[in-house]
Amino acid sequence: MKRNIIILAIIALVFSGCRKEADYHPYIGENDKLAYDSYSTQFEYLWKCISTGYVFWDVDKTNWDVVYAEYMPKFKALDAKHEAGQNVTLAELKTLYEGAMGGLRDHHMNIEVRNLFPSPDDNASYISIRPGMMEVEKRDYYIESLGNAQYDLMVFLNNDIDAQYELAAHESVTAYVDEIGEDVTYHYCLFTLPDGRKIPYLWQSMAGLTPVMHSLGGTDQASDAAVIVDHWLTAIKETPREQLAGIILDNRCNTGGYQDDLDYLIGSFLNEKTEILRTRYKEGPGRLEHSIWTPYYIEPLAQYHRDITAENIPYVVITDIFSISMGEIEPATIKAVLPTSYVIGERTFGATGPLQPTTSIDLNYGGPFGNISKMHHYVYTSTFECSIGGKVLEGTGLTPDQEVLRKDHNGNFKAQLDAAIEYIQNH
Amino acid sequence: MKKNYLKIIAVVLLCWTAVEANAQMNHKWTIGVKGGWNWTNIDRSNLGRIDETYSPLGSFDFGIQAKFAFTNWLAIRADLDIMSRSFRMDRNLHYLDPVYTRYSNDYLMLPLMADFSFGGRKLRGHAYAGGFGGFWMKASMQGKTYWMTDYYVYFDDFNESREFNSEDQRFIAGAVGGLGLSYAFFGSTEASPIISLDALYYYDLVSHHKGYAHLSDPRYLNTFSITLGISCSF
Repeated sequence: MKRNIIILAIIALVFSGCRKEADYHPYIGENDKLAYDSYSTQFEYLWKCISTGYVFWDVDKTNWDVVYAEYMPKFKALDAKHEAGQNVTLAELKTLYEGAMGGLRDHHMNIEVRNLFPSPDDNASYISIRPGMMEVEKRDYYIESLGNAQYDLMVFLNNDIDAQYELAAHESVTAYVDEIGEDVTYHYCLFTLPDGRKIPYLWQSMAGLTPVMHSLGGTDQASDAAVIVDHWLTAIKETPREQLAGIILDNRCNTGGYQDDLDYLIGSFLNEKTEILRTRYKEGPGRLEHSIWTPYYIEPLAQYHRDITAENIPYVVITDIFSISMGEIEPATIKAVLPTSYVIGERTFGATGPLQPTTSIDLNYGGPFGNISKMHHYVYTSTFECSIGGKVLEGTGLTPDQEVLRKDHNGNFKAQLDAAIEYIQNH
Repeated sequence: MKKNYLKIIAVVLLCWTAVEANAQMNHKWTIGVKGGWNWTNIDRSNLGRIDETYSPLGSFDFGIQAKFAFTNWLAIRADLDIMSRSFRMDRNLHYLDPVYTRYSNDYLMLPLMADFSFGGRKLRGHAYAGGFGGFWMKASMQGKTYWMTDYYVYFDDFNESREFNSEDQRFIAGAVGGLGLSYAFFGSTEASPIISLDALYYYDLVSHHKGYAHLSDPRYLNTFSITLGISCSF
């Protein structure tokens, strides 16, 4: 018996020390625990935070370990340069960070890095790396001098209305919305076809319907914007079928905003609760450690309800390369859920991962982190991964049903709108 | 009840037949079945984690066991187990505290142990020590998750299989040890039906999460298993 106990004790001792220890990996909210004092430790911190918090490792082909192996020696070389008394410039940092992180797929991503030891040659206080813009600028339909869509819209409305359709009404406003903290612009147009049928059209600078509509009936600037949106939705709801040719939502140069806008843009046309997309988040520090895909349901919105599916009313959304975030999630979900929808224009930007602000940093392992003033870095990155119709569109964007490229029309804004009206006319 | 009696009688008759057929052998082999329950917890680093807490869960455990005795105090034992190793994660952050996940992981386990026995002719105690290999056959999750917009937080129940990915290490190994009691109806030196009660502790030494070249994040399962066995020595 005693012999048995001794043998067992020796075996237990041998095995007790055989498990590996974890490397330290920061949680992105551990601002107060982490400090770096060299270029290589700054890079290592950002590399580790992205390793543990980036939500797109399942679709991003970047080999993050190869990035570490390739770029850590280069950042150590910068440390050596600094220690030798030479200046390290923001331009040198930009080159390295663009090389290391510029290929990431998150098209919301913006990596801001401040020079730890500012150089007299620096002409800014920090660099900004936007992998999404770096990719988009390489697309063959990207136009460097692409005008602001709203400006182009005004030019069009003032000068370029096609003889084939008339502008029966036009209302527009730029209003400051307290709830958003910035201006939003809306243009509502009522186009009339030669046969007298109407097409209610809305252009929005961002996806801000929800906070705007909170002001409907109020007296602030936002209420002026709400009235215009209300006119568009009411025209859709109340125009008799024989007079309503179709609907246009123009999401060109829409910079995104509120997910709840889908209640108006989709919920108004549903008869029952409908799943419109799925999301998941990082549930742990492993790169593929995600939560399950959670469905997001939209309920029918009675206020502006119309069964456009039953009435076969076409719902056209116009997109371009700068339909970003909710600006492209809106057409993607409309297309996935509403059978009479149709998307015309260009393949969109590709930033589909919803985000929460840094105040929500404790919710999961992903999302924006840092503080460029206090921590010498700030990384704006998606909190959730989004799947629409079973597809993750991050980095690729939504491909339209009908491609109409502005570059094929000398950058002209009108061609895409003409195509939308023609589609409705022939529907 | 009647069926169980019939089964016991069938086992006894089978053993007796084996005895008659192998009358010249020493009674060294023992073969049988076992079934019971286990409790598993996960051992993973707290580094970089937010607010999740992990707690053990109980699950099933069954298999076959075979033993070869070298002497009256030392044998070697090999089992083939199907074992579910389950644990639970709960979020603790204010309005996310409804969020939880129950992880169920079905393993095929092959423990190989030295069996040091002591005691009398019929009732004996056992101390086990050895190692095991295992294969992670299936993973599933059940619980509640969340999604949020700028205005609302939504919760959703789920119960689904989990697909394996490149981070999962499906072949594992570790150390196993424990204690047991057995009762040989006709004595340990005779061919006999035996009932046994074993308490084994499985200690993973291979992480089921592979980690990465510059960021190791090992995770191990520890399983405490209690099984009741029916076997036959011959």
